[in-house]
Amino acid sequence: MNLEVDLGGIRLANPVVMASGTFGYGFGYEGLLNPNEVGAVITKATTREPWAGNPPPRIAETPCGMLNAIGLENPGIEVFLSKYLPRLRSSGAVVIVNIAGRALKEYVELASIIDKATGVAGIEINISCPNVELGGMQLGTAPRMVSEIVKAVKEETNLPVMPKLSPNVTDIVGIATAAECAGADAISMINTLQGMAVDIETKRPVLGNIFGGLSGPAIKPVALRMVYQVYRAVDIPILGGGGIMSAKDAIEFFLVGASAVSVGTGTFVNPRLAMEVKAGIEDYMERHGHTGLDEIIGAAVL
Amino acid sequence: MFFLENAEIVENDRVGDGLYELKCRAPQIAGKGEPGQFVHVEIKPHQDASASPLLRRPFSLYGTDAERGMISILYRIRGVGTSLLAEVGPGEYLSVLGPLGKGFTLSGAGSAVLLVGGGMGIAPLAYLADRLLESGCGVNVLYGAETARELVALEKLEQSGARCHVATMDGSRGHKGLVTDLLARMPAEKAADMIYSCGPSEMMAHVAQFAKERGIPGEVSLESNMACGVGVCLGCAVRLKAGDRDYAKVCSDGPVFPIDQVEFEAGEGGRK
Repeated sequence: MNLEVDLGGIRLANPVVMASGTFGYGFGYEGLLNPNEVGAVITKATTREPWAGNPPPRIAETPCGMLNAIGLENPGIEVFLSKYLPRLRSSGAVVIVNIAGRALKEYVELASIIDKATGVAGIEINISCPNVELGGMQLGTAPRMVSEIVKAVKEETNLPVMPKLSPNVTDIVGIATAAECAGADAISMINTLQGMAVDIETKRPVLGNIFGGLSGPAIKPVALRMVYQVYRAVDIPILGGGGIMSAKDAIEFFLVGASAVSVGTGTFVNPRLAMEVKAGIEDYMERHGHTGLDEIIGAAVL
Repeated sequence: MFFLENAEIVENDRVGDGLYELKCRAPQIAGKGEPGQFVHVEIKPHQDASASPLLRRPFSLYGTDAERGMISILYRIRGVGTSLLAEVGPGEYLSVLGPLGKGFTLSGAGSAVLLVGGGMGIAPLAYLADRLLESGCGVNVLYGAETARELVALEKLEQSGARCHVATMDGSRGHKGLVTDLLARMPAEKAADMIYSCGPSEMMAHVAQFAKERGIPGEVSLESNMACGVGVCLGCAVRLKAGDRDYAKVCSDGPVFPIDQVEFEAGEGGRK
């Protein structure tokens, strides 16, 4: 059985990818889940300069989900390249670097810097973080803006480029097709759904940032619907995810058109989830007599 | 280095009003755990995932027994997670991740230490007391609770040889009032070589002030809601001092921090 997949020029030995912001720089779960076991590691969002992130509380649990408002805390690209990338590279992991910024210029600079680094397989453009004032989601909710960013990043690098889309839009298909027309090699979806939580005793919002991004099993139906719609509209591969907690969930994403799947919040609950998903996909394919992922990708799209 | 163990529950006993002590078999964690470290427990009592909370729950280690491969935690029912946890019984299994975080500094504690704990904050301190007493250290404990029935670690502490001084808010045992009132009764000279504290934020603020005035080094254990527990999600951020640019992570930079690195402000979330 062949679990290999080509994600817009990024060769993955298996289709299970660690979502940005849920696996640090690959070694947070060392010993339990190593970065070279999974299809690829998408690193925590990197910005040009260090970002301190949002004031606490940064997380709140919700029914079948959680809200986070981390605010893209990270040490900046220089520290990422000197401290984290070398170790990740030497582990043999497929590394996709998630980049974020407050303006187009920062994405361009980051793409140019990462293009010169060794050991990076691709770039995920974060235009979907709901928890920062400037940049993030604001750049990913208008097709024209998405197109501009993807084009600008593509001009700086020959690496495969994959925008991560926000579900907080009126028309996900319009955003995805704009990204494809601008030259995106693949599409990553979905980021978190914007939400909030309220403490009725203090009569205040729970999160320091007031609003946060909802993830976990609660958002899976939304993510499936959006992957389904985008799969019908674009020809580039989709990295699909949102609330994957089991192999069954992951298979649903393949069936609606994802070429690979990302696990995120589920890893917090079960650190071995990615490997259990991979094994479960193999079982499923064997049971159904499939020899390659292409036989199930989009199979449920009518 | 931490482990993911499917831990068999050996005991999950009610030890006070809404207070429980859970013992389970987790030999790898038991062999490696240190006082101040915590475990991240999946709450899934009835195999019905949708009825259980999504995230794991962090609990300080209350004790480890490497020989028998057992660990214990102490908890109070506070919400859905702990309510469900109280329902699991011996013979059932829980997924336990640990030991996590940075524990208390054991070396250099000196010959006389002072532990100040309030409520469930006594759990990591009782475990610490065991270790310090084993190494021949003299241990004084100031232990506060709402009422005598909540002094659930007192027997264990006294049996292990710690000198305990108790305060209860209702006066049902020991001093009537705050545990920090007892600080004033400590001898002016050489109150302790080292102070360790865990409990409500206001309590630790007093302890920190006392440590500063007396020039005694110390450590505090903080708590926070957590998602990952291992330092990847950055969800348990806490600003230790008002002027700090960066946020510390309770799960991986702590939960134990030097007492003089934390600025306690009454009423602020995350620092209690």
